[in-house]
Amino acid sequence: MKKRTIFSDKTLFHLFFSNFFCLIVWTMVIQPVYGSTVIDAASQRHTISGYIKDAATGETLIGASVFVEQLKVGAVSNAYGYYSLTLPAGKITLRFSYVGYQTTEMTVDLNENITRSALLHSGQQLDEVVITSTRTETGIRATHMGAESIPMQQIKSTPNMLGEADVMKTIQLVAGVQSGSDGSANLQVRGGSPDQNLVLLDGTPIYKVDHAMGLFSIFPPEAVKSVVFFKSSFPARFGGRLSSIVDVRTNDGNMKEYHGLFSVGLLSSKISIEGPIIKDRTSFNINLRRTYVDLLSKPFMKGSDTQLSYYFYDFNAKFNHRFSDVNRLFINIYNGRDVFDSEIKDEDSDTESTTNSGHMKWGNTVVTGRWNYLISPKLFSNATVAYNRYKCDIDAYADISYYRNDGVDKQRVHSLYNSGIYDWSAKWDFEYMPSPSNNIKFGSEYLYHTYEPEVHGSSSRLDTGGTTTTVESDEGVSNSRVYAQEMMLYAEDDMKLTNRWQLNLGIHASMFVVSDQTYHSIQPRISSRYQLASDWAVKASYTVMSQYVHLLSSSLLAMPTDLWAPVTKNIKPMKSFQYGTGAYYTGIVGWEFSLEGYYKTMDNVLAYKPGAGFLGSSENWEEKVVMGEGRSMGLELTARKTQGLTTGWVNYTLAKSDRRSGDNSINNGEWYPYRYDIRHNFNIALTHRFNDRWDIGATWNFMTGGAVTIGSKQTQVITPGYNDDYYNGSTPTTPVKPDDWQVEGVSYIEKRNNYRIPSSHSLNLSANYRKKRKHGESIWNFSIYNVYCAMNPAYVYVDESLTSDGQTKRVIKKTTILPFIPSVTYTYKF
Amino acid sequence: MINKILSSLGLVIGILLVSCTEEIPFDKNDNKPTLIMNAVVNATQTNHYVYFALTDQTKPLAVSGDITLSVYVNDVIQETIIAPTTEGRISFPCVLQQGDVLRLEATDIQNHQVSAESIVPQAPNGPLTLRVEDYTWVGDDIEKKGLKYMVSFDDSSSELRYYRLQSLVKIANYTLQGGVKSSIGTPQWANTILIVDDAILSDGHPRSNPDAEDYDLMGTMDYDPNLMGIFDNKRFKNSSCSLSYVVSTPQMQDDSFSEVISSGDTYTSYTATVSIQKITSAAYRYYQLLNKLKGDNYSEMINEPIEVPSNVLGGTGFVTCINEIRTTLTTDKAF
Repeated sequence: MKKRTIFSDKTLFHLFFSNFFCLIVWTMVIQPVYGSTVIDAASQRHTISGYIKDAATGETLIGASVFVEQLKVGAVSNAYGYYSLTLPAGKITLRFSYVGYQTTEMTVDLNENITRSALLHSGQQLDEVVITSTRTETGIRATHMGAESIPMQQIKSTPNMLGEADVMKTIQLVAGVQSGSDGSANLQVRGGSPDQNLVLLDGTPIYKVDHAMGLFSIFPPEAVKSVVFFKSSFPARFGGRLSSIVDVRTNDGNMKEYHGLFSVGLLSSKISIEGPIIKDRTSFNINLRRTYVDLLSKPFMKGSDTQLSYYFYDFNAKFNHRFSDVNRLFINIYNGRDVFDSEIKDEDSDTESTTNSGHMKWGNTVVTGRWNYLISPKLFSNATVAYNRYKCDIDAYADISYYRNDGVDKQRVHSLYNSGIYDWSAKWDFEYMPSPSNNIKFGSEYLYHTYEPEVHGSSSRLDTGGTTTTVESDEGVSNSRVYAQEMMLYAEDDMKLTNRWQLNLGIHASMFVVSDQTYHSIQPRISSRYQLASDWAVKASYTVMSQYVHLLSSSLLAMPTDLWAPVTKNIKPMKSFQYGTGAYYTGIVGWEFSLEGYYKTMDNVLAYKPGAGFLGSSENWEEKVVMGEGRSMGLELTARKTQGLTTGWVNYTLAKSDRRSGDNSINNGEWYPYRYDIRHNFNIALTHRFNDRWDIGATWNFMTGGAVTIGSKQTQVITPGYNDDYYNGSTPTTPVKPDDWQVEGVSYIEKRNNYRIPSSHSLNLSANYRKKRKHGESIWNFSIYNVYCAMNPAYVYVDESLTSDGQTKRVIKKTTILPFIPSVTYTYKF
Repeated sequence: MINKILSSLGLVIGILLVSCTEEIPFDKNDNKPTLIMNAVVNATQTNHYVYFALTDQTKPLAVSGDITLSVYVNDVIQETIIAPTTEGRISFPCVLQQGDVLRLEATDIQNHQVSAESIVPQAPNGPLTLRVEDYTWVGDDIEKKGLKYMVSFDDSSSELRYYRLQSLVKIANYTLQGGVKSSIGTPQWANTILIVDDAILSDGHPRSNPDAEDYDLMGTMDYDPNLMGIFDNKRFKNSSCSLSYVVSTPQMQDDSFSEVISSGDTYTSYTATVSIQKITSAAYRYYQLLNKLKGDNYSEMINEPIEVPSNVLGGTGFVTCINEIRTTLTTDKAF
């Protein structure tokens, strides 16, 4: 087999081409169109730039606003806290603001290009109206639609199961987003499936974003600095998934002082430490979370023949070094695992006993290196190199003892299963801010994927009285290892055409090479915002996305054996076309109202053929799926309160989503409801701060049920006559003639997804009590998940039960796994 | 003390996370009974059966009262039968030729009306040749015996065609005295085939050992056994077709199975009736799904639901026509 190397000829070509593309864009398009410093000098315009940071920690603030009232122009800080404004020479006053921080003003004489960083102090801005910049990428004032910056305060205050604040669970409260099932951390966004969400950890895609079969996400809020969520109108720099982008950025680390926290809850404990290695130059931030369900359950299993143990952990480490005002280096490390051990003893007979044990672990490892370089006050660049790995290992053992009169023979049978996916990636992003009316981003990315097949093997060793040993082994690989290369180029400009009209024009081009098959895609991204009046605006958008990977999943739960598979010669890339429009009102101080509508079509979405399942081998997976199309549409109404002691939002979504197979194998080729076709969804998410000591959070969610396939009736099928006697070891005596047929009963399914799961709803409450201590602050969190114990269905299935007169009848049953759950968590911050 | 607290916390968590199950109602409107009609009509025969029942929540119900069955061939009515079902079926006479369009229409006394239509396919080109030889293999650590049948026919075509293999082996013991056969006991039957060394019947998953299970670590098989004996001509377009399969019965495991026959002894005759049926593409898909439904791999809880195809309008069920070539081969063995 030809040895594969990362840096093949094709790889080097792609890397060279992508960087050449960036150079071409800069020298032949951007510079001539948007001018140079020579022109700026001639027209007396200068650039003020710098970083917006937290005054106490030195942590950069993402999406912070800088606004110049006298000129009615502004900007926002980018993902690294950097801002740049090119303005006419003269005395200017800049107003810096950010949610959860006090607004700061700075007056400067702008007679040349200068650097000014702003330090914001944390604290609630309750009364004063803060005019945020119109240059933001998210929220009601952004050009983009469907873009939200989820406040960290909201994430930490949102009550959740067992007191575990969760990034993904908070995103589920956004209009247009649902969970897969009760308690799940999966995201179903505007009719899309869970594998259509691009989840980024500091810019690197993560494949497995959940623990415990999807009940918790891998992002402990203590490690997270910001979460930006896009459900449509995707910026051109993002690609590879159809339905949403979740951009998670972690804390850089306190540049000035050492701080930390430890937290003890019912499910897990957390430790977080941050501080300077070299003050104001190098910092670190380390977070560790581990559950202890395994430790708590041990006493109950002592002496039992069944021993089960499960835990998960997340480890985040970040190092941040500032070489100078123009050079900065970041190194991120993430490692997370779920570990499940089991041991079950069977006393089969007096002559034989068996102990079956298993060890299962799965999780992600991500290592990212990023280099910020300020090429000029107007041109910011970031280069990223990353290694990303998801792996699942299963080892199963059967230890069998055979008792003889003169001793014991022992046999050990070992089976193993491995699968995974490995990525190497390199990307270079540029942000050019020639004027307050233009914000240009362009760049390229190269990824080298290795999709590891299922490697499985078995061995058996028999010891007979210590003298004879028999070893048999067998190892197999279900599928050939698949290598793929992916390259992306993008460019976009966010333009303020007039005082009322903003336009974002972008183009994203991608190429995917796998098994001598090459796919290309050109994806336009267009968004527009028009200010009708001072407090009324409308938006429209058109977005095309392509996706080159699929998640093969066997069940509603997020199983560790779910497999990411790339497109092939037969399985084409998925593509989506999304149209959106919306109206926005900000006429009431501290409130924002929006009404958005969307229509999305999807090509080449996969559905599993009738009878298919992926709990077994994924070999020949292409034969188990069929390509088809999907469509979804909806209206989303949101009211959001952004200021005051009470903040939060209320939203309602009316949506429809269905699918159709490309052949007639599913539902006779007709449209059928998508599994997560949730017609009505209503969310309330509120936090209220009473004083410096007490604050509370509440969420209430209602959603109508998704669609499942239930054989509610029995019909008959006609089969060749045969007799079960053969299988019982004897030849049938019933005279089965050559042309005999017989009929037997089977479940009758008239249409795919013919049954609606009952609606679900739940109320969750939490309260925080804070107390200042000598060296820090203690926080008690009390929360109740599912306050009134709504029996929401996790899944439904058909079963049989006896009636009062002894007859058997088929019934539908629902299983609820998350009833009323109180919890308490203690956190100490120092 | 700490242990007590930790144990209590663990107990609380354990209790609170225990799942609970409750019954939710079916939609009664969705559960109105509909008439089921099933038939496989063999064009080489003149008498046929059509099966009737009513759908129900728990199991199909027998149809009470008379059913009016109308048989049309090429839109011309051939028979109208008004009769109750016997063992769930009604017999009707009909002569069919390739290309004929058969339509069945039925109404029960509760006015459930159904109809279904199917075209009679062309019979495969003959002749159908059949050979047999002894076959042994090791399964479950013991030597097993059977008869390996090799079937061949030439139905060359560039278009996609669908077939079904049907094998029925009649096992009869007899004595031979002065050239006169005398039967002993009751004949027995075997119609289960074990697919061995055949890529066509196994759809690309040939196995050399009939007992090979090929379970993976998850305890599932990576293919669906071809219980219905269906296949298409993708692997032998424009050429002849050769199939092989094994029949193994308890009688064949006797040591005498391999002995040379000598006159005057007791014998066992294995008479195989093999037919190659040409079926419609709809019937091929129907049997493909039945292979899945009846295979060990399938679980209603885990696997994707199987919507069994129905071509019956107004109700449910499946009506199809087949055409076939058939041959018989007898092998005598020592008893």
